[in-house]
Amino acid sequence: MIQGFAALALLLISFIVVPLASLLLGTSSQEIVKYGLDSEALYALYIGISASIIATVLLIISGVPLAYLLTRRDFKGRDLIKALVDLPFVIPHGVAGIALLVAFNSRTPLGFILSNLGMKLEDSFWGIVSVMAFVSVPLMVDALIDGFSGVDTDLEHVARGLGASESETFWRITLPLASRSLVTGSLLSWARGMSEVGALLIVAYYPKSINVLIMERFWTYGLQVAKATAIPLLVISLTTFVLIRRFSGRR
Amino acid sequence: MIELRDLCVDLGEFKLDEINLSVKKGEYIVIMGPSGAGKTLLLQTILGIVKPRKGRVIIDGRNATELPPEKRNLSYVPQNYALFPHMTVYDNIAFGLRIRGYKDLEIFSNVREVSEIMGIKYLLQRKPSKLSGGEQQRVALARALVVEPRALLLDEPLSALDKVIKSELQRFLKKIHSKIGFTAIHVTHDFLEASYLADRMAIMYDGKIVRAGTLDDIITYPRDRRVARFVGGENIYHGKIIGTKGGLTRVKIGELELFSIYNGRDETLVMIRPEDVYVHGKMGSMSAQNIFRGIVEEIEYRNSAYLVTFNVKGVLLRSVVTKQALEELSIAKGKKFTLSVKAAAVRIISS
Repeated sequence: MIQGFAALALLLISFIVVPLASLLLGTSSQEIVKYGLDSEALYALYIGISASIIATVLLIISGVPLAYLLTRRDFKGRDLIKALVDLPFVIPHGVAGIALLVAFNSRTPLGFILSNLGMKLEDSFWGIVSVMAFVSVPLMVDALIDGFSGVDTDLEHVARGLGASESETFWRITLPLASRSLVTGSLLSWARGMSEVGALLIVAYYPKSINVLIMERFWTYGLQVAKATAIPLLVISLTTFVLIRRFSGRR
Repeated sequence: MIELRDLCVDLGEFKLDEINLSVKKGEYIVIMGPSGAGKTLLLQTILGIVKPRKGRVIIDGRNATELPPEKRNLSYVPQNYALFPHMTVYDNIAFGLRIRGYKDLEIFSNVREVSEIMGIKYLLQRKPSKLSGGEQQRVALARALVVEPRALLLDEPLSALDKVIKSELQRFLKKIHSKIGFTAIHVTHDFLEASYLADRMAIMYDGKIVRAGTLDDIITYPRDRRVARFVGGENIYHGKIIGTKGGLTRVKIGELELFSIYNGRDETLVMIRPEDVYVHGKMGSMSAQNIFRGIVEEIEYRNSAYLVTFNVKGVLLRSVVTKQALEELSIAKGKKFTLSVKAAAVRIISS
């Protein structure tokens, strides 16, 4: 049985490794410099990466309190909220984009206020951030729920008895012990944001983020150019992933 | 001093029902009862994690019912000790002092002092995951005591340990208590542990305290059938120490004389767990120091085994016997058997 399992497992691993390897190996360095590192691509990389980082930071700021409340307080509708958090998983990306546009475009009251604060949704940097945040909510919140649930409440009770208030206990005990999950959630959120295209095409085609640019070049110039454009993004994503995993795994 | 007045808590399947109890300064009180009786809930209510529906928690004369845990100055020691895994032993012990804003130098000298008393100085730079169960317990006690709390709340602090370490730590707890004189509320389902440590004990059933008093009070007048059952499963006697022989203590219960490895003086309580009373079919070579004959008085079925009561020179001695042993030895009312008890199993509880 083990041999059979190993064969099937190997098949699955090759299914991941082969495409990535052929992408990396099948592209010449000239092509990469020409299409992947030209000024348009570099700017798009900057837009994509920075928007995804900002989306992740916003998710940390709002997701940490939400996950804490969901794991530490018993209230009516808690299960409903937990289910709501996972909704972005099941909504098709295009539909998510349409929904965001309908709710927050600058003709809606909230969108009007936001656009007057310089945070217009349509075809703007903040539009990209909001799309990326929207699709990443479940990844961040679920990771944090796992993290906070994994912290024994007795540790918090002991800290309280020793004189720590609820917030001191949170900062000194709960959050440090959930830090691994915070790192994992952030990494997944960031990567998920970097890979979003469907909703971006609808909400914010411009400024062109790398995700959109790769798609556009595939349609316009074909596989060869799209492939070269994608490589810097792929390398950055993989490197970040490996570095953060190693860094947080060693603690 | 901690007083609980008419304390009521409802928490789903667990509840507290009109709890009244007062614990004097320096007193070691043990709350005993089967699991599900609400013992942990009681500790959490005293600590302030759980708010009572009714009643009051009074700490040193002040109504603390509405105070959050951090304002009560009670140190909690849960079953698994809950050492902070991301901190060294030093930082664990220093936690309460840092929160109180002590200077580094004061923290250093306080941690040193308490770890010397606890015999854990050599552990200070280690992480909790590198400690044995016994070491963890000492660290947890050090962390709890260093802030000089009004009371220590101990939730089954010995139940996760194996038998040998357990009795060692019981003695350690008792020693530390008589040395420092802290107030303690200790929860357990182990009667032996309770009788060894407690100045006074309270027995809980279904969220109620059904009996409180000294060990002597409770075994002499259980007053409640459930208490009698809880206590009566054990062999507890009033005994008299009559000397020593070959390094062992000679203790007399009525007409029955026993050897014990424990020390004691004068009048004392003697306890023998029913599972430590062995029944033999015929005389063979036996290593136990106490060997005598007893007549079967009663056989009761209890928890998938049999509790057999023997009459030994007028003293009733209970023994736990499996069904197989009952059949193979054909134990029946009125028959005579040889019994043996090791000197290590004869517990002397000095009052």
